[in-house]
Amino acid sequence: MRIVIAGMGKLGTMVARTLVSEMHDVTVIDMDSAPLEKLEDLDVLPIKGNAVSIDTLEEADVKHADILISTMRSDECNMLCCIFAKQVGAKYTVARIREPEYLKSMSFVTQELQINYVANPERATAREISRMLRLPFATSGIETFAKGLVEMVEMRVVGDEPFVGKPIADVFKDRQSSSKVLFCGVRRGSESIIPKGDTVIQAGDSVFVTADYASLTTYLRNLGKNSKAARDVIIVGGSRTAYYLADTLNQSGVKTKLIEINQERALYLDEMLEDTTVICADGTDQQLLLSEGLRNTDAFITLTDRDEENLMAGLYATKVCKGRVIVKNSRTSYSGLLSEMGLDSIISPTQIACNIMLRAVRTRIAGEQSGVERIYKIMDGQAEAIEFLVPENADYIGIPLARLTVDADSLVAVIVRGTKVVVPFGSDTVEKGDHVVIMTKRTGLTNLNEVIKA
Amino acid sequence: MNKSLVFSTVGRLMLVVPVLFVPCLIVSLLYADGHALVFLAGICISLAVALPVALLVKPESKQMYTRDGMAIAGLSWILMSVLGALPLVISGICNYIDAFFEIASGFTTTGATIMRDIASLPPSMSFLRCFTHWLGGMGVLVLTTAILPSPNGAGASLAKAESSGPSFSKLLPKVGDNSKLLYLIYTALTLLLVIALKICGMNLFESILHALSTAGTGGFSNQAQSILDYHSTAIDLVISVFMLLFGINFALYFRLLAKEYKTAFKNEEFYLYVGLSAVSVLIIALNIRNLVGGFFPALEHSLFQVGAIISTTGFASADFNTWPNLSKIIILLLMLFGSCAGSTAGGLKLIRVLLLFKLAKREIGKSFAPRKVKVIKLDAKSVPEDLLNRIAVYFFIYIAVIILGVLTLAVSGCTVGESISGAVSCVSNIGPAFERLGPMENYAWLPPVTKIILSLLMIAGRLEIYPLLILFFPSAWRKS
Repeated sequence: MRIVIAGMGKLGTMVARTLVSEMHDVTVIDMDSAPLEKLEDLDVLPIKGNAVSIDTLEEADVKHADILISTMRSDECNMLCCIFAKQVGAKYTVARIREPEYLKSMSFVTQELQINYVANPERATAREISRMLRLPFATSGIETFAKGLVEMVEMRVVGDEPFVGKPIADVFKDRQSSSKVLFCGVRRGSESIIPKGDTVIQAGDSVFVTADYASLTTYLRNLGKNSKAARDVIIVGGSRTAYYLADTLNQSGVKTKLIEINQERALYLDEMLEDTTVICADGTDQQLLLSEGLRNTDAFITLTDRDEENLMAGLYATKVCKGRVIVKNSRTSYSGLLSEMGLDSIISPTQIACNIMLRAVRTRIAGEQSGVERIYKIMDGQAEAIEFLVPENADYIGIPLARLTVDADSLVAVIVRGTKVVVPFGSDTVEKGDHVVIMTKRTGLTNLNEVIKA
Repeated sequence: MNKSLVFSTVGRLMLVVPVLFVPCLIVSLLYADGHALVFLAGICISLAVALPVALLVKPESKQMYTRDGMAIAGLSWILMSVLGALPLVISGICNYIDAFFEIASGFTTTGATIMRDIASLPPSMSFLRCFTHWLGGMGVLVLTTAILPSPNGAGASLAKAESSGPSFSKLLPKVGDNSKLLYLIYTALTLLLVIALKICGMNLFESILHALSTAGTGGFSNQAQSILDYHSTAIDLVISVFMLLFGINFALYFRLLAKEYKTAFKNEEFYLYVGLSAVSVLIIALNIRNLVGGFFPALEHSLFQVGAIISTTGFASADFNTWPNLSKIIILLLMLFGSCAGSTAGGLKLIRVLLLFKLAKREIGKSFAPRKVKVIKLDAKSVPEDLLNRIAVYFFIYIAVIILGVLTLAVSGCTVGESISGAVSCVSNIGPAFERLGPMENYAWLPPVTKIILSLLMIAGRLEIYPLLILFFPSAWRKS
């Protein structure tokens, strides 16, 4: 796959690194030679120039590119770059667009300007945080399928859960409520397992559980896990991410309090966010945080533009606050160190943005000539969750799963029919138009036929 | 430096040597020249040296940086010549130091020889000499990156360390694909030359030998007096043209293949190359017309010799030792300059000469208008200041290395002319020099120590100095 990436900032570099490791032909463009020189150990074709000029795009051979990804600093440049690239001949374009104003006219952007995929790192980060707040038991790896109908979470097994030490087939036989959830992946140390009926879960494993949101919450409450969603949240720093987060939380009825140091920005945020209490103050001031209710809040989230401030405030909060503490930190390489210090809910917008861009690219690559709707890499890339759309005349339609042959390294995780989520059992069938989520350790699957055979 | 990685990679690269001996073995068997066992022994010994290193040394980390790539290039080029010399030693043709010189001269595409009697060499040995030219011309490391997958930027670092020119630029995103493409163009041009020479009346074996030698811009031949022995205008012309072709940046051929004619010829270095060659040919032709009986024979010799020197091949169709001083000085300057970056030729590279002139012009301009700002451009693109800086320093180091060679030759009993021309000839990978090191002479009479130093200078010149220089800096070997 020939991929051109314009703009070699933090995000562009991260995307380039991953795509090179997946053996794609990558060409990178930047205005400055400094970021290009940093890529000397990477097998890419560096081109110095302005990616919003036809000359540079031609030099980068965008004409023959399968995908162009634009991650330059300004939204406008990214849009222009994608439009030009399309004109030159790029087949698929991905742009990073961050401003809320542009996002409101997103359908215009994607349809009229012919940008195939728009990635908004700040909004994606906000959504990720809001999912973490809704499903507090999840350690990480929260993904949604079928337009948000299905959730998948990663949960650490402590050892006192009723399913520990028993084959999965037995666990799900004798529990009523469990029939609505499915264990679709197990991570044991560095090993990834696609569970079968005889797989035994051990203490210390991480289990990936899929189900619809309600079933998942019920199941986890029965397990005794803290599954109470946050009702009251303090956010420090009025960044774009904070705006998107407060907006999302307000919509689901969560009480939000936003602390922003800049008066002008605080006024702007108050104007934009009807239901949020905006406080103009220094969010790293301990007295102020205590007086605003840090002790009893359900969640404390630091989202300023400076990693250092986020960490300081976050570290203080872990000592005082009873609720969850989530910290934004762009320097991903430090996360191990930070979790030793007690901060384990760290969110990196760059990483999240990189993931959504890669997801778009992988989906595009896999979906070019097949029914792949979405691809998620999970368990450090060792397994994939793939969402397929069932085509009209497949030979497996209507036959109970028990009578079909399912690939040994794969698992049918969920079937979504309309708005109904089915966690499949042997007697269930796959029907035309269903969305089927497959967990697999195989790579390069492009068709449901390869997994299920009549 | 990541020593374990450097050694294990060098070990694996050394496996190229036994592979190199295989076609020689085949030639030996075909011509029944009695050296098959020599090559078999060569294969066994080189395998015995390379395999244990390749298999037993386990790199601590596989991440390769530019400096590791340079050290690998420097070390492997020295070792390649050491191992490549085996057949010449085993067969008793010459002693080890002479053989090392000869093979180093082969790989670096210099073409300086210690052989007194080239015509009597067995076919397999002639093939070995010319084949080293061909491999060394485009590069052994480049070849391995074309064949083997290269994770963690290893391929880029290796190809970078071996490629010629002030900045390493790829044509395709993946270094493996890039190397494959270069070798494809290289092989195609070589085959074309074999056919052309065959048509001109050379026999197939000699066509192949001279094609390999020309393609690598080396200069080894199996004739006592090089191309002069054929006394054929057609062969002279064909080789002249192809020598010049192999001195052009291969990116130009790629652009032509990709039908990007505009970008292909938007290349100032190419025009300098053509212009410099044309002017030199003309001046030398006028200068020697009375010596060879008329302007047109003079033009033929002058074209051949300018082609041979500017492309750093070093074939001879005439003995330029007997030419007037003006012609000799032009030849000496062409030796220093060399051809285009990204070709198989050696020398300083014209792109550096061009940028040095632009830099000089700017600095002179600054002396009477100190506040003037001027961005130096090449092919309508601005050249980064640190690149200009590197080129200026490289020029100094290049001259310093040549001076080292001059001093070495001077203490070895050479005249002023021999010392200067010999040192330039070795560092720029030409081969022949003046007087007793001239095109009809050889390097056999020099003392052994001098031969070793010259061999290292040839390798330094081929790898553009730094990869070899880095080996002599203790601080570079420190763990990082």
